[in-house]
This record gives sequence, C-alpha cells and structure tokens, in this order.
Amino acid sequence: MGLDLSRLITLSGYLCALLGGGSLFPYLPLTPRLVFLAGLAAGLAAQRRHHPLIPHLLLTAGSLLLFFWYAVQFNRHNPALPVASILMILLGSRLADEKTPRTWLQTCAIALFCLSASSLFDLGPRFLLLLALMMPLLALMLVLLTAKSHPGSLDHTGLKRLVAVGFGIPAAALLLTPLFFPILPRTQLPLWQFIQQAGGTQPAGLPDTVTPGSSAQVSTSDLPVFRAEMPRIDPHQLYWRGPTFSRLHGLQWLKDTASPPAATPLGQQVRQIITMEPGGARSLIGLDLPLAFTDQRGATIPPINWSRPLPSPRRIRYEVRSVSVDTRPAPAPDRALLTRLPAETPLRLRQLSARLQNAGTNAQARLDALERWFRTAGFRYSRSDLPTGDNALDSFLFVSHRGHCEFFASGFALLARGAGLPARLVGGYYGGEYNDLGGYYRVGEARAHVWVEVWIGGKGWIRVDPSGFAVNADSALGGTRHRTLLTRIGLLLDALDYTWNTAVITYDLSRQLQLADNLHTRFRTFHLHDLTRLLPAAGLLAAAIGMLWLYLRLRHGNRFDRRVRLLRRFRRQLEKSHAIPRAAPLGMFDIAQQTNCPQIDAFVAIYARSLYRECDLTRGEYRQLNRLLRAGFRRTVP
Amino acid sequence: MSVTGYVGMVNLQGLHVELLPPAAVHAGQPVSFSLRVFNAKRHVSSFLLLCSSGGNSVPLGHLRPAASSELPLELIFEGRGRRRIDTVRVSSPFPVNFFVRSCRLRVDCAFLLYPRLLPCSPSEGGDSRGRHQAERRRNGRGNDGEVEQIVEYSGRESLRQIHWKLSARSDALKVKQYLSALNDPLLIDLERLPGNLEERLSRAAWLVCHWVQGRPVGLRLGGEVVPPLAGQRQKHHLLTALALYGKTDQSDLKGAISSSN
Repeated sequence: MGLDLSRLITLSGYLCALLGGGSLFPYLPLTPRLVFLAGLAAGLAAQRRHHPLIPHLLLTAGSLLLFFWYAVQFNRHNPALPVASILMILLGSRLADEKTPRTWLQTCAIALFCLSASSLFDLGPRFLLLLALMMPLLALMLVLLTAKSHPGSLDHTGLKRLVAVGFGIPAAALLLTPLFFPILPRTQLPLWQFIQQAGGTQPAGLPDTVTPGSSAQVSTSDLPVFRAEMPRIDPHQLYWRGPTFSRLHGLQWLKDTASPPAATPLGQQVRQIITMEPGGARSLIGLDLPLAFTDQRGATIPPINWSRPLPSPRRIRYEVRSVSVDTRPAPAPDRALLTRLPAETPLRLRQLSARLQNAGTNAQARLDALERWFRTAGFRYSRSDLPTGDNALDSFLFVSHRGHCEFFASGFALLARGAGLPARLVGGYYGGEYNDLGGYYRVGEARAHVWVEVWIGGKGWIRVDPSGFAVNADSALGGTRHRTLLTRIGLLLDALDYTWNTAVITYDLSRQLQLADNLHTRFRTFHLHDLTRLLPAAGLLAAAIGMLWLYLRLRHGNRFDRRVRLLRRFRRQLEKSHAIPRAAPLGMFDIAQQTNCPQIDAFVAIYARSLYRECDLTRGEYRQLNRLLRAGFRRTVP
Repeated sequence: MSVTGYVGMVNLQGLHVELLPPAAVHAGQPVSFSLRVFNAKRHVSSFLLLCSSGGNSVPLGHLRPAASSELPLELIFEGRGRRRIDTVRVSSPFPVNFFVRSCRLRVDCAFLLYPRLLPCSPSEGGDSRGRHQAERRRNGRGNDGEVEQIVEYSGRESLRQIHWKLSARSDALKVKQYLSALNDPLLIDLERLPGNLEERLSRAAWLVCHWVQGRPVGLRLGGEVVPPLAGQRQKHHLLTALALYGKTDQSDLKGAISSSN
C-alpha cells in the first residue's frame, strides 16, 4: 500500500476523531455515545462505498434537534455534561457526513474540543497523554489538508517530507512550550477548575463536628486529599493537624473558631509544601505541630486564618513549617471548658472516669491509668458494624469495643475530662504513602483521623492517639503496605499526576508573580563573580556547538556554497569585462559562445565538468578556477 | 503559531527564480515562459509554492533541497516593444493554510514583444508580382509555385512534374514547370496595408511569420527598406523593426534595419 495523500488524510482524521471521542466517551450518557459510534460506523461504511449513507440534510437536522435537546439541559450547576454531549453528537454527525477537506477540518476541530471537554471531568495525566497523541495528528492533518487544497502535485518523497514536517511542528512547539508557558498571561482564578467541579469526584473533607455513632460505617474512599512535599520521616509522626474540637453539644464535638495560639518552635523543623486537592480539607492542614503557614508568594498566613474555611474549592498550594513533637509547652487553658462533661455523658463513663480520678495523685498518673485501661480493654479499630444512636459511645466503651477514631478519641477525651484532665479533640489525617519519585506524601480521604490532646500542668499539650491502643491498630491505621508492581505503577502515575497539577494546572497569576519576584531578587543580588561560576558550563556548551558545527561542515562540506560562490564571482567578472548583466538569462555555454574568450571557455569547461559529473570540484580544479577569476577575462577584439 | 510562522518563512527562504522567455512573444497570444525555481536551501525542502506573474500562476508541490524545477508559465501581453518582468511573486499557504505568505523574487527578464498577429493576404500589402517579376524569374524554378509552362520531358524532372493527361494525348511526355513560390520575394509595404497603424503592424507581422521561413521577405517601413531575405534571422529583424516602430527609442529599430542591410 503506497503513501497517498487522501489515504493519509482519512487515516489521520479517523485517529483524531477516535482520540477526541474516546476521551469523552466514559463520561457521557448513552445517547451521545451511540450517536458517536453510529457516526463512526456510517463514516467507515461510506468510505468503502464512496458515497455517504445518510443525506447531509438529515444529518444536520438530527444534529440540531439533539443540540437543542442538550442545550436546554444546560444550567449553572451542570454545565459540563450537556456541552460535552453536544460536542460528541456533532463529532458523530461530522464523521457520518461526506468527507471533504472542510468536513475533515471540522471533524478535527470538534475532536480537539471533545478532548478539551474531557478535561472538565478529569484533568490528569491521561488527558496529557491523549493531548500528546492528538497534537501531532492535528498538525499533520492541517498540513495534509493544506496540501490537498493546493494545486501542486506531490511526489512520493514530497509526501514523506510533508508528513515529517507535520510531525515536526508540534515537536518544535513542545520545545518552545517551557519558554512560553511561564510568561503567558494567567487569570487570578483558574476558571477551568471552577467549571471542572461539575464533573469531578472530590473528597468530602474533614467535617465541622465529631459525632461518634452517627453512621454504622465510615468512608473508605482513597481519593487524595492533599500531597505534602517533604523528606520521609518516622511514620508514627505523620499526624496532619487540622481544626481542634473543644466544645460539646450533647455528645457532639464542635469545631473551635478561636484562633489557635502561636506555637513555640522546639525541636527539628520540617518544611512541607502542601498541595490541597479541590474540596479537600476545609481548613489549612500541616504536619503536627505547625509553626507557620506561608502562601505561594512567601507571605505569612496569620494564625487567625489557619482554621478558617478555605476561600474556594480550587486546588491550593502553600508551605508549612512544623516541628515534630508529641508535647508542646502551652499556658494553662480554660480548665472549666476543657473538663466539662455534657449532661448526656453515659453513666458508666462517668463512673469509670471517677475511678480514674482516684488512680493517681497527679495528672500524669491519671493519664497513664487511662491509657492503660484503653490498652487492656481489648478495643478493635473498625470502620463497619459500628454502634449507632444515643448510646453509641457507651456501647463502644463497654459492650462492643469496636469503633473508629471518633469513638476512640471521643471516649478518651470524655474519660480524661471526667478524670479532671483538660482534653480536646484534634481533627486531621494520619499517615500517608510516601512517593519516592515525587518526594511527597499522598494522603487519602480514608486517612482522616481524630486524636486527643490532653493538657498536663508543667508539660503543656500532650498528643494522645487512643486509636493506637486498639489491638489491631497497626493494620487498621494503614501501617506499611507491601509494594507490589501494581502499587509501584500507581505511585508512578500519581507522581505524574502531581507534577502535572503542580507545574501546569495550579500555575496561575500568583505563581507568575512569584516567579517574577524570584527573578527580580536574583537580578538584584547578581554579582559578576556569579558569572564566573557559569563560565565553565558556557565554555563547554560553546565547545559542543562548535564541534557540532565543524562536524556538519566536514560531513556535508560547503561544496555547494563553494560552487555557488565561484559562479557568483564568474558573473561579476562577466559584468565587468563583457557587460553581461548578472541576471541575464544566459547559460554558461551561451556565454562562452557569445564572448569567444579563451579564459571564459576554460572556466566554463572546468565548471561544467564538475557540474555534470555530479561530484565536487577537485582541489586542482578549484585552484584553477580561482586563478582564472583572479586573472580576469579579457575581451577579444574581433 | 510561532512555529508554523517560522516554518512558513523558511519555506520561502533560499528560493531563486529565473524566467526565460520563448523565442518569440507576440501580443495577444498566450506564450509559455520557462520558469526555473531553484531551492538554495541545503537540507530543507520547499512545499506548496505558487509562482505568479501577470495574473497567471503555476503551482509547485515540492522542491527538494539544492534542486531546481522548471515550470511552464503561460502569459499574455498587450502592445508591442521592449518589455521587462522584474519580479515573480512566490506565495505559499504552507504549512497550515492559516496565512498565505508571499515574497517577490527578482527575475529581470527582458524580452521584445512583437506585434499581435492579424492574418492577411500578401496581395494586400505585399509587392510580389509587378516589380519583382523579373527577380522571380531570375531566381529560377521550383516545385511549389504556379505552373509557368509545359515543356518536353528532359529526363531530369521528377515524376510529380509529368502532366499525365497531356502526355496521354501526345506521343511524348510533357512536364509542368513551376515558378518557385519559395523564392518569390515579398516586400511588405506598411503603408499599403489596411487599418490603423497597429493593425497594419499586426498584419505585417503576420505576413512575416507566415512567409519568412521559405521565401525572401522584405519590409518598407517609413522611408527605410529592409531588403527581402528568408530565414529566422530575417524574421527576428523584421519583427523587431515592427515591434519598435514608432517607439521613442528608435536606435534599436535603426540597428535592426541596418544589420539587415
């Protein structure tokens, strides 16, 4: 099968349509899917019969009908699906229609729109892969369609070179992308992410209340909530702190609205760059204990904003400095508030806490006794078959001994309070899978966690995770997982996803300003001696370019140039000696005949010999021609 | 956009064109110029070119690096005299047809535009029977002129000349003797041709083209006379004289006439 322009157009066109339609296919309802498949089948059948199966008018009317059907379904809350369905229907209609260059162009444009629309549902590496496949095809299609509409004919070699150009254009554009991407204007608010909300599945985020017993089971979804770029640390220290819960309404813990007190930096600090997924946590999250939050431009976020709801459901990125400690010194809190038990506190809990109060003379001893009780009571961490209802906590503590972190933390905190120890809950996440490739922890929704902080005089707030006292704590709280090949592939894909999101998706105006700030700072602090450090690298680069140039020069030579230069000098000489204009449409033999000059005859003979034997001038010939040109041509007197 | 723009720019870079006129260019008649396009780029082909001049264009699909291609470019001109095509416009929608990029390349193609050809009979302006009758006789006999006389067959004549009907009636073979039409000189007198000056020049040009291949053709042009001669060189001289007649620059005309004399 030979290379043929029309065949290439057909092949590339169908591939484009398949990529575009295929990217949107999984997200659409049945009708647009069927229309696309039917259009594809009709188009292929028409290709074989060289005649369209469905009349153009019928196709247009059908497309319009479906267009209006989906257009009326468009609304603010569901903008993506109707638009994507319309695009898919239009693509199917174009595929079924007669194939002219115009139809192919429309098909490719709609296929590209379909691919773009698929990003409303998933803007991940899959989209990037499909885009990387479609771009060369689209460029090729444009080049081929241009050739098709041109009256000039293309030979086999011409067509092959044209295909190479078609693929070369996006390759060259890819090289330019890093140059243009950072400087192209961006909006402050990423509009695409705003629309994307409609189709995407998002994590639920941390709740504003902690209510043990509200549901018989909890979510096990592993949707990523955030990723934290940081070095790997002890997995038992991976407590990602969110809001605190001090007040109780019945047995329901309410989120604190007061700003957290500034923490004192003690111990080794850990720096993290957190990228929060849209709809992830509802307030800033940082490794326990966060000292300071800074935004992308390096501005410090005041503590008052740490626990406030995040401004938008977009993907956000910030930096946290934390200190990894279990205890932090703090002034005495509101003891009355933090030791208060609600009226709904189960009787058995009150009795137990009263016993614990007598267990020791000081706070630490009472805390130890409480921990000991939890360790020995035989609690099991479970996400299903949980006690529900008003007596859920009582049932957990004294009957079933099965529950998740909310039961553990809530029970522990109430018992601590009953024993006279100020206690509160801390919401957040625990653990995370470290991705060595990306150098970050990925924390999923299933890792949402609640633990307890108990205040002990002289020490401060002590972090206690009662869930860790469960007999199955290691396995239930996501201990070290065995990394299978599939897990590794998953981590690789996640690293790609993360890179894509951080480098491309979240690149907005503030990142641009940050880049500009950095450049400005570097420029201001630039010294000449900085340049000297670059000299070896620059020298190496120059040497490499020089070697490449020399190699190409030696390989291909400047034979062509040399001959052209000789010819130019020859025409110049002729103009001087015989007044024959340089642009005169005369061949060399005509000139020799007309001028009747022996030097010109000699020049033409040597030059033409080299030209017609299709090889370069020998060194001797080159010298001889140069000699002739230097000596000049004398006009023969008739 | 920047890449396609650059590719489009490179596509037209390093192109050289040469326009070669045909041997004779008459007004009002489509003539095929030879357009040689040369791609001086060493490694890069040029694609989808359209070379145009004078409202006509010729496409070229692909031109390899360091190669040339020769294309016929049909052109029509009006008037007569010296003409010059300075540039040829080369355009291309390559690579993606968003924009058509074009450039003008120098060709400096100079040529002489001969008058339009208007068919005409030699009797209308030619003097070939009266004054030149004697010359015609002197010039001898031929095979393609009019029958001059019937004579006895001498054995040297060709069989075609035998008058079979007359020979059948007599005892001897009779042969026809022709006047040589080819050698019959024709002196075209511009003043005697009908029409206005341009029409007369056109008719004279037609007579020249029609007869000059095998018959001496001369020209009386104003006060000057170009003596009758046959052949390509004479044709060129006569047509040049006709093309430049009445034009401001008469030196060429005088040159053409004197070189003929």
